[in-house]
Amino acid sequence: MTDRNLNFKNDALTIVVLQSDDRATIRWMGESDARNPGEFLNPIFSQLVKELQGLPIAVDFSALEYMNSATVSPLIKCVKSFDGAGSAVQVIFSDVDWQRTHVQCMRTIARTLKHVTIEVRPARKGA
Amino acid sequence: MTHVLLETTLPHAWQHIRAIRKSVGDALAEADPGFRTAAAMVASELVENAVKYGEAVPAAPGIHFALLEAGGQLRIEVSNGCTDGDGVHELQARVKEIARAPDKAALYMARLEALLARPDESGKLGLYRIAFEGKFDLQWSYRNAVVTMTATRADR
Repeated sequence: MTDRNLNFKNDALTIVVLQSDDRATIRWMGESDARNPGEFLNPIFSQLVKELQGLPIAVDFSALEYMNSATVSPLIKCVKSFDGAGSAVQVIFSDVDWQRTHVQCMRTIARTLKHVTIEVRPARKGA
Repeated sequence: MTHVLLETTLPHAWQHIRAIRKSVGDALAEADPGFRTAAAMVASELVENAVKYGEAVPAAPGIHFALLEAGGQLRIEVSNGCTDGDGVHELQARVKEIARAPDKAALYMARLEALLARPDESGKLGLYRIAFEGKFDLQWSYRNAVVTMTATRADR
């Protein structure tokens, strides 16, 4: 098995990519509150869409503590890009109040996509 | 009677937004976690807009922020200077649109879909998020080249 870990950090936001031969996990942690989050996020996702093509991908937001509204658009573009590249995408949220809104949005958007499923996990204690 | 939970004036600089979010969370430490998180998000989104679209004017050299409790409601007020007439009219139109919409979730989704269909267009999702995710009502005023946004929600 080939394992690869990538870390992308921008201020309070860290994105960790865990890749093995048969799957990849993209874990968001911290806070995404940059003025133009797309400047940081879009090149990363463009790279990952190419590198992870064909692999099942989990995009895990459950450890994300905050994101501003400017993050929403690049986030959804990312999920759409993976879907468009043919990857099975599992989007994982926590059941904390603020993430429920995004669950609702992502479920609506996922109806128009072929390979996207949504999972909601119980919040960790103290989250 | 109005209780001032937090009041401050900020420069038009992005780096102060996170501190406001934390301060609102601290001021509402005893509140329900969902309510506290919603208030912090609303404060953050309103101050983001003030930094993005505001400017120093004689009546408002900086961004004025207040977190208030009155009549069983939490009130968040953010004031900033603005001399862009088109921007002010657009803001007014958005606040009216949100106030009139019976289904805030549908409005938010429609805005999101519009953004996704036009990748070059920037955000402007924050006000819709305040109404949908935050469940706050929005009001707007404009006087002496100063925009004041007021977000209110029943307490706790």
